[in-house]
Order: sequence, then C-alpha cells, then structure tokens
Amino acid sequence: MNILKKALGFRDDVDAVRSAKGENLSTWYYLLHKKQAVVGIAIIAMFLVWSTVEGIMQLLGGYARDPSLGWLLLPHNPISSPSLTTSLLPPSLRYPMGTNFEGQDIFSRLLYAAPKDAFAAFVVVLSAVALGSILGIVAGYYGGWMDEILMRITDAFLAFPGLVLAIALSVLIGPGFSSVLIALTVIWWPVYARLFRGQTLTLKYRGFVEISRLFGVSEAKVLFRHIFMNALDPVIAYMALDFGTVILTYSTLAFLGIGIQPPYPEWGSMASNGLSFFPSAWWYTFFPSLTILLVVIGFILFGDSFQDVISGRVID
Amino acid sequence: MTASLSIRDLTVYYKTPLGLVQVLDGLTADFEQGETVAVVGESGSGKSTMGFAITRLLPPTGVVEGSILFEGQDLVSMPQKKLRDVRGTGIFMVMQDPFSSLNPVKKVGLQLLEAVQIRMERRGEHFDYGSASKEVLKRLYDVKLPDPAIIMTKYPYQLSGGQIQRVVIAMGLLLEPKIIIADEPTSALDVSIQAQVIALLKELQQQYGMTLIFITHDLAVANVVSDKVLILYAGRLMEFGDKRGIIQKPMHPYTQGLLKSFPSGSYREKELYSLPGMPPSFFSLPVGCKFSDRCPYAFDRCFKEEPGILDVEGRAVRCFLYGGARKNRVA
Amino acid sequence: MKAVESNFLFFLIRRVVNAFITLILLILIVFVLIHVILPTPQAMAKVYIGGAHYTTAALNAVIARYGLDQPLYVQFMSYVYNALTGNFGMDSLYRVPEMQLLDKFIPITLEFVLIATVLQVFLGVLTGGLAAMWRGGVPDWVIKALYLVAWAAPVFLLATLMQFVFAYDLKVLPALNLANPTLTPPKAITGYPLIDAALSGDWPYFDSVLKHMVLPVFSIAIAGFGLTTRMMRSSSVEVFDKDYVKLAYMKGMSNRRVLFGTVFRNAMIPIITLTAIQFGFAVAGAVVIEDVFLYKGMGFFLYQSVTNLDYVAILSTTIIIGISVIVANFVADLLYAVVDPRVRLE
Repeated sequence: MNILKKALGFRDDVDAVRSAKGENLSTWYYLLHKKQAVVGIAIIAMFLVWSTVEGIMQLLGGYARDPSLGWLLLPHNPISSPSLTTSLLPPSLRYPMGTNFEGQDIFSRLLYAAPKDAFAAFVVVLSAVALGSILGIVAGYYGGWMDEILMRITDAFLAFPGLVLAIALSVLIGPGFSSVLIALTVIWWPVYARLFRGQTLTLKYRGFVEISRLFGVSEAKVLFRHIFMNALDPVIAYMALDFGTVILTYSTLAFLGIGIQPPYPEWGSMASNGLSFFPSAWWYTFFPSLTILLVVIGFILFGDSFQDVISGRVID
Repeated sequence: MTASLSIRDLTVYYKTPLGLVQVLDGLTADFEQGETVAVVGESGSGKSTMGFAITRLLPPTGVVEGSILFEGQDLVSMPQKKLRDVRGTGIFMVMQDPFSSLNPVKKVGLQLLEAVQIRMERRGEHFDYGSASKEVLKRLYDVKLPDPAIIMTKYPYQLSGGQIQRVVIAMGLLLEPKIIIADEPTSALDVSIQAQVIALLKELQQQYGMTLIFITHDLAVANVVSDKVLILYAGRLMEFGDKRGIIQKPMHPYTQGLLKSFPSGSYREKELYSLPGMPPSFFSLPVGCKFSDRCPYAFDRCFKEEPGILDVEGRAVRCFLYGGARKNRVA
Repeated sequence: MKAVESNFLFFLIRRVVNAFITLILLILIVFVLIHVILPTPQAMAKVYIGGAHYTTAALNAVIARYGLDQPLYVQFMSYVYNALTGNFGMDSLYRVPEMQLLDKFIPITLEFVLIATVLQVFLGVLTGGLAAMWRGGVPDWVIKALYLVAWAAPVFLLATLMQFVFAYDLKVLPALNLANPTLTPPKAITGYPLIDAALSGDWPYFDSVLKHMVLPVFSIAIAGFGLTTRMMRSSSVEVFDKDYVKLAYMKGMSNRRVLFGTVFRNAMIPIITLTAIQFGFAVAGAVVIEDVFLYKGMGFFLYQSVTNLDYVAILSTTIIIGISVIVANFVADLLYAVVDPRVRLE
C-alpha cells in the first residue's frame, strides 16, 4: 500500500511544504528529473524490453520447434555453425562487435543471451525475497529461539563469500541453468531475511498490530498486510540495486563455466572464452564484459536514486 | 564599560532543499564583560542557532550575515584560521546534550588535558604533563565532582549526564575564556542536579569574572542566573534588558504572556494561563510582526509591517505599542 | 582499570564462543546441503569414488570405509572433528590427503588477498573521507561515479583491462603468473612466497613476486573499494555533525587535529567490521583473478576442481574459505572492541 502511496506522492513534512509551494510530489516526477535516475531507467528499460521481446521469440521458437524464431530479430544467427572464414574478425559495420572464434557475430550472441540474465535476475531476487521475507518476518515477529537460529544462520551466510558457495552448490547439484538459479537463491535469501527481520522488529511495536488483533483480524492477515507491506518499502529500493548484483554474480559464474550450456551463449562465458585470444582479438572478451558493466550500472543508478527518494535523502 | 561582545544585525539562514530559510533576523545586542545574560526562548526560537552563530560553528548549510564584534574584531568576516584562536580561550560553549558532548573513544582526562595544552600553547607556555594534570584535578574539584582522579580515567559512557556537564564546564574553566555560552546546559538533567549545576555556574562566573550567556527556555532559571534577559521569539529579539525590570514590568506582549503562564501559587488561581496558538515554523512566518497572530494587543500595523528594535527606558523592545519605528531592512 | 579489563575479557570469551558456533553452523550448513543434494550413502559414495566406472562392491567398500551409512549426527560430528583437525579426507582425483594439496595453495592466495583487503580499505577510507570533506561538491560526485563504475564492473573486466593497459600496452608490469617462471623459487619454509623469499634473502624472487602481485591486487581492490567508500563517507558525515566534534573545535583545536584525532577515529569504527566483509569479497574475487592472471592459488585450485569434478576438493576448499572468513570476522570484532570502549559492555 505504502509503495503505491509513495509512487503517487505523500511523504509528510517535506511534502507538506512542497505541496504548499505547489510543487509536484510524485516520486516518478522526481526520479524523471534526476539525471542519474533517467540514465538508469533508460538502460534498464532497453535491457528489459529487449529481454522480454527476445525471450518471447525464443519461447515461441521452442514451441513451434523452429529455433530460428529466436534470432529473427538479430542481425546474425548467434549459433551458426563454425566457420573459419568469419572467425575472429575485428569490429566492423557488418559485425559491430566483431566475431568470435567460431565466426559467430558477438553482438548477436550478446543480444541472444540477454533474456537469460534478465530471467535469472528476476527469479533469484524474487525467490530470495519470498523466502527471506517469510523467514525474516516470522523470526522477527515471534522472536525467541527461532529468531536466534535465524540470526546465526544468516550470520554464517553473510560472512561467507557467496560466489564460492554458489560455485560449490552449482557443481554439486549438477550442470545446467536451474542449478545455478537454485544455488544463487540459496545464497541470496539471508540478506532479505535480515532486512525483513529488522523491519519487523521496528514495526512490531507500532501499534497497528495490537489494534488489528483487537478487531479480531487473523494473525496471518496482520503479518501480511501490515508488516510485510510496510516492510517492503525500503526493501524495494534495495531490490532494484540487487537485480544488478545478481546479474554480476551470474555472469561471473558463467565466466567460470558454471551453468552454461553450449552452444547457447552467456555473457560471462563469452568473456571467458575471449580471454584465450586476448589481447590480439581484444573485442572477444571486452564487449561481453562491457555489456555486463553497462546493464549493472543501469540498475545501480536507478536503485541508488530510488533509495534516495524512498528514504527522503533528497538533498545529499 | 566596554562591551565584550557586540552583535549587530545578526541574520542567519539555512540552506534547505526548499530554499533559504531565515532563522535569526536582525539580532542586535551588547554583552558587557562579566555579566550574565539569559537568552530565553521556546524550542524552535533559534536560540541554539544564536550560540553556534557566535562561535561560528554552524553546519555548512548555515549562512551568516551581520557582524559580531568580539574584542574589536568581527567574527563573521574573520577567516577560519583566526577564528580558531578565538575559540577556546576567547569564547567557549557548553552544549545541550551531555551524552554527545564528549569524544566517546577518548578518556575524559585526556580530553581535559588537551584543553590545557591548547591554552598553554596559546600563551606560549611550555606544556608540562605534571602541572597540567594537577590543574585538571583542581578544576574537577572546583566543579564539585567527587574523586577527580578516578573521573579522569573514565570514558564518557561511564559517566552520568550531570557529571559530563560538569566535566565540560571544567573544560571551559581550564581554557579560561572571556565568554562562556551555555546552551540549555541543564535541560537534559534532573531537577535536583539542575539546581546544582546552575549554582555552580553562577559561583564560577562571579569568581572568574567571565561573561556568561545562558541559553534557556525556562524563565525561572533565567531569573535565578542572570543580570540581563534577552527574549527571543521566531528568531527575533523581542525584548532585552535588565532582569529585574523585565520580570517586574515586562513590556513586550510575549514576555507578558510568558510571565503570566507561571503559576502564581495562590489558592484562588483556577486555570493556568497559556499563550494561545503556537510558535510559527520558519518555513511559514507571518507577514509583519512575527508575534502578531498570537498577540492580544495586535492592531492593523502589526500585521503589515515588522517593528524595529526600539530603545524604551534603557530596554530594547520590538513592538509597535511603544513607538512607530519601522524595521529597517537593507533591500 | 580493573573493571574495564574484566569487561574486555568477558567480551573476548563471548566472541570466541560466538565464532566457534558460527563455524560449526557453517559446517552444518554445508553438511546439510550436501546431504540434501546427495541423500543416499550410495550417492555420496559415487562422489567419493569420483570416476565414471564403479562396481557395487566398490561402492559398498567406500560406504563402509567412510561410514556413510552411519546415523547423520554421527557423521556430522566426525566431519566437524576432521575439519577442525585438518583432515579433509582423500582427494578424489589425486589420491593424496586433501590437506597436502590445500597446504600448497592456501598461502599463495592468502598472501595477496590480505594485501588486497588492506588496499581496498585504504582506498575506501581515503575516498570516503575526501568525499565527506567536500560533500556536495565536485570531488564528491566524481568519487561516487568512480566507485559505482568500479563496483558495477565485473572483476574479470577490470582484470583484463589492467592486463591490457599495463602489461600488454605499456609493458610495465607482468601479465601472468606468480613470479617469473625462469627463476627458481626459494625453499618453502612457510609456504608464503614473499616471506620465504625474504627469509632466504632471495631478493630477485621477492621482487618478481611483488611485481606480479600488483595487477591482481589492484584489480580486486578497485572492484571492491566502493563499499568502504560509501560507509566511510556516511560515517564521516554523521560524526561531523556530532556535538563532540563541535566541542573539539570549541576547545580551539586546529582543523587537522579535529579531523584526525576526533572525526577519523570515530568515523572509522564501523569500517573495522566492514574490513571483514571486504576480506570475503577479496576472496571471492580471487577465484576469478587467479583464472585471468594464471595465479596458482586456492581460486585456481577451486576452478580446476570444478572442471574436474573433484568433489572432495570443492567441499574442502569451501569450508577452508568459510573458516578464514569467520576468523577475519572474529579479528574485526576484537579490533572493534579495542577501538570503541562502549562495545565492551555488551
């Protein structure tokens, strides 16, 4: 509820004065006027729109048993058969980012691989939030030994470099995309559990919990409507940033060869393969890495501005 | 007697995301050497700002205009390096919240010794740890702290609010400043401790002859402590003069209201008087006299123009009831 | 004084117990995860054997040998005991005690990861402090832009960029390896290349190791310093507004004295905890860095194990890394208490 309210306006003191001055209060208004946020939103929009479109094309291609639907929109076939003649060509008009060892256009491959990263980001973050919120809220609300255990577990997870655990888990579970997603979710939820727990602790004593209970509202409803929805506000800002971080981690795993399924391209694994031809065919490793950088920056810029707005840090 | 501190037309703004907000306006007052002036105002009247403006320790969002003359030099236009020399041995300030006044990671004794070191450096004396420690102990004793030697080894978090305030006062004494500004030094303390700290300040001030500017919201405390009283409302000086005069015969309607609010202690008093309305926010000050919306005597002119400071029988008053002086602003 | 000392002692004991519990918990988590993924003794045995071909008899032999059919809590306890005494079993691939392999690689990675952590924190504190001093101004947002880009860049991008510019283009630093391969390494006394070289007086080798370390260390440091910058900046800004800073100025202390004696000391307190996190980050980065720079340490070992599906190695490496991070956190906690006396009460 509050997120909607925030999106449409309303933030007490500063707002009171601003509305008195006749200024537009909407969060989106503010965001759209901050350069940093605009750039971020632009990048994210391009990334998400493209990923959705291309993703749908690839799905359709799968259903129709015609994989070429997947590269209908691309300049070149990203998984064309290896060809010596077009191998390792530098960037040109024809191949804007050059070609790889198998002679495939790198630009097309990057575009082709985009939906996977977007999908991974969403699945991991949303799953982590779902899992983390349930555990965090329950622990924060009921306290006691449940809380203690949760705290210890999250402590153990948070100290640990996630990448290493993700590597170990992915390998153990088995090769493939889904094992990476599972592994990432496993290492991702503790942060959200902590966040939601912290919020729950603050919100627990706010009074509307007791009042709702007095009115006979069931506990689950209380937990969801009041605590979860209110706790969500600051968490959403963090989530925006986190999408980028997941993409970063996912690409790094792909770089190490985890979760990839040849011949399907992955940004990270392309960068890794390109290393063998570095520095002569520098484009092979650079462009995939730069793409990752660009997309992640987009999320960071947006997430950062979003956090500023939500927390009212309007000046700094 | 030459004034030790002269404030002329002091105006302070804060830069906020909503534009410049004026907090202090046209403050003009003289503080004589050796006297105690109580600056009385409600919360949000700008009194802390005044203290920080004088010591030039406003946050970066603060803008100061006007002049503050201390020993013949203007503090507003003084460069930071010279200001440093004024602070400490020239002007010192005791702050409101004792629990955040001292550096939490250093022992109390060390922080006091630092003060001594600064004073000695300024006077060209050689810093001697032994004699400095003795001085610190003596001062801690002066502020009536039991076991000064033990206090010196403690960290701030181990002391109570009252003890910390005394430590800070001791620090002030060690620096031997000409002026001490005390910003609500007793507001965070229990009433019984309050009385002790106030008595202490009074004693020390008389003993060492420094000028004490005592900022408070409590007229009763002001009455006990001061020689002169300055009434501050919405960042403006409303009345300033001899304490006895103000208490017995207040001129400004706001002062009158404040005094009326005191319980008279008589059986016949049925209701406690309180001033109607609320002090204005600095974001939306009324046009004209800032007290006009709450003043029982306000007339036409009060709502249109802001009165200037008038000199009436040796007292400074900002009210049209006493004359027609218009507030002069350099456009 | 006595009261303070005994406070500290209690604090110390509490922290040790805490670290120990977290350690056990970490091993427990790994243990649980393993058993969720490989639920039957047979599945586990297959992993231990590691090859593609096995007979039922061989499987049973492994189960019997490693006690894979014992009750879980028994297995767990023996696993913990083994982990703590350095017995990580036999490597599936090389058929030698795991610890032998680990012993070779741990020091190499630890050496440069520690240096990278120090560098990260240093960069972060410097930039964060500067950003706070000139907050709102040009240096502030330039620093912010820098660390955002550095943070968003995958570690391998930074590594390859640095390789490209400094090794291949400008040719001032070596591109790959621990040290010049034509030099013979000094006698392995501690296993730490720099220390061994220094102890043996083998200065050419020392010099070579140092030079080869520059790019990897800087890649990690640049990728990760942003975290500290952010914290340092907000911490400094917070401290700056505090009354005791005003009091310091009020005493007449010079700007420099206030900054270093009061502001810094207080602002840096949260950084100490952050250092442990930066250490974890550096370790994670090491995995990638060692691949790019062909630096033969733990990361390299882990990567090889992944490629070769050497499960015992993978698990042991994970646990070792976990232990080191917990130790780092513990040290950070202790330092925190030394610097901030208020904490000792908790």
